[in-house]
Amino acid sequence: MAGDEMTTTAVGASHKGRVREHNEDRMVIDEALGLYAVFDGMGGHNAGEVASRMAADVVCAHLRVNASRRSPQRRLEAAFQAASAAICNEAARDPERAGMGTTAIACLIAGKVATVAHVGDSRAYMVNHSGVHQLTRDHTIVADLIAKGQISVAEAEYHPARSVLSRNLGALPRTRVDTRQVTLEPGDRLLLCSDGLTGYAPLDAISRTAMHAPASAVASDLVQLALRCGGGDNVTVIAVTAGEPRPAREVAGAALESMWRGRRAGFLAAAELGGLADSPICAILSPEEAIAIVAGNFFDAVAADLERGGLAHVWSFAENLASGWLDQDAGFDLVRGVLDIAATAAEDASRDEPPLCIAVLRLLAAAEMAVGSQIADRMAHASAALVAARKSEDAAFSDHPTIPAYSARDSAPSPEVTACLTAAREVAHQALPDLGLATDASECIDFAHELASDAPGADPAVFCPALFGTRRLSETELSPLCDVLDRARAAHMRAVRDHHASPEVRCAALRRVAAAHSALFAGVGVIACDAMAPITTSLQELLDETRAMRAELRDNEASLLALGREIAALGDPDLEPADGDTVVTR
Amino acid sequence: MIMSRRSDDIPSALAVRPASELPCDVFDALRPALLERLIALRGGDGDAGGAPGAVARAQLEALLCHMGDFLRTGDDRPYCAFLARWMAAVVGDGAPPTALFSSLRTLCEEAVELAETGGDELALAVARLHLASARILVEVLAREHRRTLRLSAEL
Repeated sequence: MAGDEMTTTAVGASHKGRVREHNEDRMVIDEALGLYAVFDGMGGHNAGEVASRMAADVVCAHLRVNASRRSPQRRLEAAFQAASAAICNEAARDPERAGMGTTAIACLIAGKVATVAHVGDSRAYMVNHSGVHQLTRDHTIVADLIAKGQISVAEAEYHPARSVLSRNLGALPRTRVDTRQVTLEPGDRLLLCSDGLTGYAPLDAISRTAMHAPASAVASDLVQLALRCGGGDNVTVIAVTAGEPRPAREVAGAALESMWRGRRAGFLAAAELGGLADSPICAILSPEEAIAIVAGNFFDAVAADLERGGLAHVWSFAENLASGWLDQDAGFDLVRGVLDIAATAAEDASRDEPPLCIAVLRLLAAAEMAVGSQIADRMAHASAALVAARKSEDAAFSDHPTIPAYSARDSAPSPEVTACLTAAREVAHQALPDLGLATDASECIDFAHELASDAPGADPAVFCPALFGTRRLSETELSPLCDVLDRARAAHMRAVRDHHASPEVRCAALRRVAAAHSALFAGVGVIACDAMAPITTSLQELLDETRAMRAELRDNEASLLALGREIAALGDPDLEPADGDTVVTR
Repeated sequence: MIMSRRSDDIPSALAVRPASELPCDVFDALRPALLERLIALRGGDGDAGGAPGAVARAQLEALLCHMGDFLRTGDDRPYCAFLARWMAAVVGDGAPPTALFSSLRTLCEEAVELAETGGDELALAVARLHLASARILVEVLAREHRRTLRLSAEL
């Protein structure tokens, strides 16, 4: 490939949707021009179709004729103006077409540079490994209100004027066109779409499909996504993927799908043997229905994703399963059970063919991640509620004396010490209801007991992450944990102190418990430091940069002073300032 | 409680079995190349967030090291503890837990692709590792979610 050349693969898909009778969207894929465009027409009596078709024709014709030395921005802008004038004239000529117009999103690719121009609410997105980034801002009344800070994004969703365009091609002979340029890297993907996609499918689902679907299937997958999400409008998507296509994998996809299809009976039998029909998730189904529907759907989802090289179907299956059950008691365990059965059956069915098994394992991992994303969403809500609840409490730090930890775990505890530790653990647990935040305290006492008793496998490196959890580095999240650790330690120590064993036994037990709690506290501290490391490193980098800038500033000031002296000497040698004089220059 | 999560909790068909010496050695040999690919992928991210370069490299190196150990021993406890700490670090840095899945997916997909150059046995082992890693992260997250709900109820 030449230095500035970039191979691209463009695919498009369009559908009239589930509600509209006509498709008023229009798309252009012209590899020779490097032009990709979507137009979403509007107007009664099929005038929307006329407007979008006219815009597509005029823009293409204009760009073909004017393939000159003008910049791509100017060429696109001129083409859009020509289209707007043509539509406006036609609307003025034919009263039935009065008020017709169209949105326009177009991309002109030359080498590695993509120039995007748009009018209206059709959008362009850049999709790369870091995510999906919107390149355009809708020309709608509500987008303008959001930009001015007059309404929030949430309010915009229900605003009565949410669909009203502030600009389109055809409203006026001339209109303002927004343009921007992006540089493409291999693997980058440009999406152009009408609002039939973005108005119905959630952005995270669009992102997932846009990032992971193969180049040949991404446009149709996104259109299918919009249809699954209601399909209330015409929907059109063009995806332009930069870099060499990967036909080998897509050809392999068809072969993998074929291999997988041949294993249907084996998979269903393995799922039945695994007990899928006994899962409470399948309670309302007969055993035959459970296998046919639940296992069958999973099998088909795997087949569809193998064929396309994507993961959207398996992801949707797992996401639907999780979203239906996670909010119920023991819901996760049930989802886990079904996923494990399906995964075991899938691996059993594909084990004899390593390439198939590898592809299936990747899809199973995607299914896990889909469930994980659902849990993460719920956890974010629950954490926010928890933080709010804690803020409302006046959780003051407790102040308990800390017993020095000396050396405690130099040998296994004697039977008497073990008995004392076990009894103290029970007593400490009984004291917990009075402490508040009993869950963390209870875990802390259990972990400390196992450490103090030298239980097999007891390890602060394993326990501390469990205690730390997913807290953020804020006082509202860390302070309560420290408070709980301290209260649990105090309760645990008190229970040992109050035990009826001999002073020697109690002393040995106290040393062990104190050392165990110290280890837990230190471990949690290490994790907090780990979590803080990126922040402190960033701060250090900032400090270094500031130091360098200060040094540069000093140098510049010195140069300025010297320059001032030279200028002053040139003007009047007698006025040359002495060292230490201030010279002001403008 | 983390003590309850041992290899015998994972269905035997899905557990990462200790791989033979050859794929482990090949995986170890591939680690530097994999690390560079991951760093390069991250490098394109510009200043889109996340840990600074040196920290990210250290985190990725540690993760690959733990993956190698997991592959070699099939013992999920140290790996599980590491993933829990990794999650704490990522979330502590202000990223949502879903970012973990995205990172893990990128990393594991790259690992599987690279492992495919080392033969079926290695690729299968790494693909199993991919699934096991995702499953462990989900378990860690689910446990945290349960605990958060319990704490909310207590308050």
